[in-house]
Amino acid sequence: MNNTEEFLRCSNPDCQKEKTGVCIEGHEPLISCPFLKATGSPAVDDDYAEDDEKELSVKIIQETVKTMFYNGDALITESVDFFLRKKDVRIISIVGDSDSGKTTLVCSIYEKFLKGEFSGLAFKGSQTLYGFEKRVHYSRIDSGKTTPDTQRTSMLDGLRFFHLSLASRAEKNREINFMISDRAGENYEEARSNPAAALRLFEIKKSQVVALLVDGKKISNPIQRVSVTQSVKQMLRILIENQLVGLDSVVQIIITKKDLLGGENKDNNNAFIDIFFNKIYSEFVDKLGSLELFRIAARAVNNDDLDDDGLPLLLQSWSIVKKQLSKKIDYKFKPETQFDQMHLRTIKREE
Amino acid sequence: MNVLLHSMLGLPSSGKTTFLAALWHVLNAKEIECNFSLDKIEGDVRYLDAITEAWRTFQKVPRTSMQMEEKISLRVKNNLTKELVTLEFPDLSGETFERLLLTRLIETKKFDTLSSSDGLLLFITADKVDDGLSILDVPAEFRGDSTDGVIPEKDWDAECVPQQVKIVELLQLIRSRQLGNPLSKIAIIISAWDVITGAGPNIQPIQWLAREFPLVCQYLDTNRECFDYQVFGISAQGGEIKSELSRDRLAEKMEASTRIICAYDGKINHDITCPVFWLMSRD
Repeated sequence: MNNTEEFLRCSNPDCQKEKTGVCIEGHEPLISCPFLKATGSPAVDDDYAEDDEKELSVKIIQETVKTMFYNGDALITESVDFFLRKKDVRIISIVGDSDSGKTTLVCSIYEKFLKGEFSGLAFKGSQTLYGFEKRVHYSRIDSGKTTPDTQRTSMLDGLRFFHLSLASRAEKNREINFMISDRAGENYEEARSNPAAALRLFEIKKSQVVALLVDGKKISNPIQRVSVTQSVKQMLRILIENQLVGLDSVVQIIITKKDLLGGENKDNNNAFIDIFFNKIYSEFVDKLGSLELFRIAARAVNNDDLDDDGLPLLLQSWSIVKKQLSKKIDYKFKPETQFDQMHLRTIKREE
Repeated sequence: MNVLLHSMLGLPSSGKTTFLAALWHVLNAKEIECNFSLDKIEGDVRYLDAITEAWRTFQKVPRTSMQMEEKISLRVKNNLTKELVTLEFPDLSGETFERLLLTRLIETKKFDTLSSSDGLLLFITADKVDDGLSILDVPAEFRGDSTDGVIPEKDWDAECVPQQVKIVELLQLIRSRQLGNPLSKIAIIISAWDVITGAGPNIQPIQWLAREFPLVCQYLDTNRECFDYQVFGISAQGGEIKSELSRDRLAEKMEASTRIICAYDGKINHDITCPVFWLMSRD
């Protein structure tokens, strides 16, 4: 049967598409919604559309009655919102300039599970498997490249999320659902100098972890290292000042490409990082739930001297973060001494 | 009479039709002791006869094309309980599943059959190519130079997705529409198992799956509330049929059914009915 009209009904009971014409998950066009299902009537004519069944309002042209599924690519915000209604989710915001390694970090974590269990966690599912696959393509032999690369996130992509559902082996396979943000670096570069643009980074306020990436390659370059670290400091300041992060936030400073920090300048590079982090820590930690430093090499080309890529520790830290930290903290307690501050930080971490 | 629907799931060339051909021969020929036996020929079995003829004469069993998709129906008797059961096997082509992954669409009729199955036979071939290899998996000295152009650069398409990711996505897609269904019973058949048994030390099918398809193994293991599964190593052909030497050796067997290899639960026998019988069991 060719070019007959078919009607689709949404199988999601929460969706009012039939009445409002708007997909609750925000899929545009409507046909891309994974919950749409053909009603089973192979031939539908205009008379049918005008009778009591008129509420079945989405018409499409197709040859046979078909069932449609989610597309497998990175999720839009509305899909994450929908997911949040069904499952407990940890939102991880990955913040960093262009080429700081945001997508590479996310894809490298995904690729670990292609080889087996990782960091005490096992793969339980993902709604974005094909989204991961598209991004990792240029790191694969099949791409024809000889040096691994990651597909750049375009400004046109807007805000997207990668989904990973993992099972914690140490906790009787407790399910942990990560939604990891993916934005073009240009968004963050603009936000750093423009509070109005910063306020558009609304996902950061909803995040359980905010990871600020610092390009290790630039730290290894004495000409660029001050600029790159001050940019991160300014980013953190603007997130705090615009209340996108606060006392309930877990903030991580992640030095990427740590494999490029070795060599003869290794000690100097590490000393520079320590000084940078100590300064940022003393300046901002009292305004945050916690502030931690990580060093990673998500895709080290020369990893002979690398004993650890830093990813197991990072993923563990995302897994053990407690939700709604702020609600459990007694804000009436005003730390006065250094000890009080340390005590408060310990309480926050334990909670 | 009880009717059990067992859908066959797998990518192209994963051994679905060859399995059916060998199963039909074993049930017809009654050369070996099996868990169940053919009670009566029901309906048109020309398709089964055609594919089985190819199997018997050591020819490559023709793949099922999307135009040739058939629903096989067998009336069998459980040799233990003497219970009569009709087994139905919709033989969907691997291309149907490839298209599902690509277009995210499947004919509702086919999908309803899949999702309402009493059990799934998931086929994964042991005779696989290594896919999904990262550039970093290759030692630096063998990575070549970007200018040597040995492999032309290629943009991403759905063909680039590694098999293990495709299989997990297929299971996820089916499960995504089975909300509320308690448990899917899946017999995972590692086809061309002779490739593994002939290659060296003894390895169990479940161990092989964990080594070669770790994502599939993790997914099934962490979703045990959704999947009840067992892994079988099956060689329906019994060995390499392209090689004259190997083919002649297989042909020397007095009973053709004995060329079949079935590795399951630490044992190896010739009973290709094992995975289906496990799906039929109610435990």
